Amino acid sequence: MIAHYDEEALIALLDSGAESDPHLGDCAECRESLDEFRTIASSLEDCAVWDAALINGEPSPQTIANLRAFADGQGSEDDAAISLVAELLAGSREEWMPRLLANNRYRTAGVVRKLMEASDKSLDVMPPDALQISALATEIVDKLDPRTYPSDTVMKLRGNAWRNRAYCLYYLGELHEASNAVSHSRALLNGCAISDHDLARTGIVSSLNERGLDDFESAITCAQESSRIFHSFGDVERFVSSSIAEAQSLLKVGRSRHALETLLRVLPNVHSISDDARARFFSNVAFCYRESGNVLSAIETFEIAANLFETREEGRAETLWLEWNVAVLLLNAGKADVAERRLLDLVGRFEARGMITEAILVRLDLAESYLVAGRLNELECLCRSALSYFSEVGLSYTARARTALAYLHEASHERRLTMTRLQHVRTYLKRLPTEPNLLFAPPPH
Amino acid sequence: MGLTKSISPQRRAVTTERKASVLDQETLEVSAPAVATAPAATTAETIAQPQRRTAPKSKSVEPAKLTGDEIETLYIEHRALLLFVACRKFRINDVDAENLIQEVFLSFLQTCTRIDNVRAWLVAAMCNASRHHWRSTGRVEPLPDDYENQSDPGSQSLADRFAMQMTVQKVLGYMQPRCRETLRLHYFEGRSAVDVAKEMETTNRYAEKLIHNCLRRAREIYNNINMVRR
Repeated sequence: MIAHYDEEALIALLDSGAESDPHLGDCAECRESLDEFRTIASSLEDCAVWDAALINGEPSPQTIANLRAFADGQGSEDDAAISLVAELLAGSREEWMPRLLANNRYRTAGVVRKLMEASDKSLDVMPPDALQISALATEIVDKLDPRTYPSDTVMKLRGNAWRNRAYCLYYLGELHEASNAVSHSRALLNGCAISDHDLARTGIVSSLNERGLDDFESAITCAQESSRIFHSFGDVERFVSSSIAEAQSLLKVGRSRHALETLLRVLPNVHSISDDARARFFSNVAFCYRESGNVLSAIETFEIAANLFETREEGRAETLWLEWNVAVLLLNAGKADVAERRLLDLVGRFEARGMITEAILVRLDLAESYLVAGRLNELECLCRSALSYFSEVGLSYTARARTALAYLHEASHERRLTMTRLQHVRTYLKRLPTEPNLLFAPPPH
Repeated sequence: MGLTKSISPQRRAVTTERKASVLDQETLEVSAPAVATAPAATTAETIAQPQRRTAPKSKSVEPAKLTGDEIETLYIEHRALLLFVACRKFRINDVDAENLIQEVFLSFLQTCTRIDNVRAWLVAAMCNASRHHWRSTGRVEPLPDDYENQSDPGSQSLADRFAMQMTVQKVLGYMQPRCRETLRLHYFEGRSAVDVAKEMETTNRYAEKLIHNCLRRAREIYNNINMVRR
């Protein structure tokens, strides 16, 4: 049985200001008691606790009535908005704005809230739709009369609708327009009495957008400010996300160790966030480890992130990408046997998901390994199978890709394939999906 | 067959960025941790785990889905703390403070996303509202000495700190006047045991004992109050 310090001893320790005590290091119970004494003593130093006047303990019936009325009104408006939004968003997106302009019944705060929800949902599925929905929301909210709703309801909704629009614009690569929308959102929210949290959310959009515009310092500052606010609001999920945004900007300017420190600082918070957010957090930590040259920790953390993604149907592709990272890291670390086994497995799994480009690029990683080891027969066989696979799947740019792969196959067959040639083909194939008209030219001798 | 993006391990950072970016903006359902976070062990040595004892976490809610009764319960549950923040920390009068509480709750109800820690959210919003109140009244009254500290949204566990202070204020209300005075002299005014002895016309040794006993008593009452709450 452990003997504990009595209260007298704990208070004496508190008075002495001693931070390290052998018993406290081992005894959580005593440490907790001392912390309690310390917190009480520290509170006694604050003038607020000595104010003898007690807080009025009686809740205000008027406030309660006002809050109930507001919630009822908002709830009814939101319920009515469901069918209105369904009606408004019927047909193609070209029909939506004329329909809105032709009828005033869509012009409620409830419709704006539901449109913002709809825009969020559309963003991953059909980004141009999301952008158009955000335009409907701003069109409505800009013309709502602030006097018809209590408090800052309309102004805050305007600020948030413009933030939503800014994010859609950013997502679609309209970075300068997104900047303008961010500024507008900020100006509106700054005029509201309680808007720190909303401004922090706008700050995150701003951070992402500034990074897109290569203004990394500004992106870092925005993310840090948002992190601070999310933290004070107890919004752990967004606190972690804004820290990720900060770390990503730090990575962009080559401060990988600083980025890693930023993420590791928030590590104690990640137990309370969703699996998906946690998986993304760990994949970012893994990138930071990799960029910092800590290959072992990078591999370990990539695998954890991959396992977290694996538990979610929509995260399975992420799992494959992360496993691919691990395999390449193993290859670079000289563990060719393990890496090749993993890469071969990944080829099949990418093909099964119809991820053609990835399936080819993983083959090229394997080719690199065979080339380094001088296993030229296997290399030729691999190039042949890549060519044959690519010919089977019909893609708009198949002919051009086939030319590049045919060149690779021929070079391996004639035993004149070099690392430079392999890299040249890899670079070309990576660019092809986004530049389908790009012609293949063999590398200069 | 869909065209997949051209992504190699070296380029993955960009794609993950994109995904993480989406996450920044989106609302995600917060679920209980289902998977053990093994990397914590890997990197735990680099992070100092918080030792501080904190108040129990408040539950998470979706404000827009709350019923009238639930809203009333939340208001009653948090009103005293929010009043404490406005009146004691920002020196706002009771009437204005009550109005600010209403503003805070209206803002809370308009939040369309899930709020994980209601108490922290409300306290941070109350600080935000109080600062705005100070700005809008043109600071015609003297600002609190520690105004800057209250203004800093980055202050660690603001809600916990204010809740603690409010409880300690209650604790003092339950104490004997002599005990309260002893604690005031020693902890608030920073007087030494020798000074306290002089002030209370007693011996140094007795003053020391008195300070210790009063702090012990304060902790006892504090624990009793918390036990009643639980």
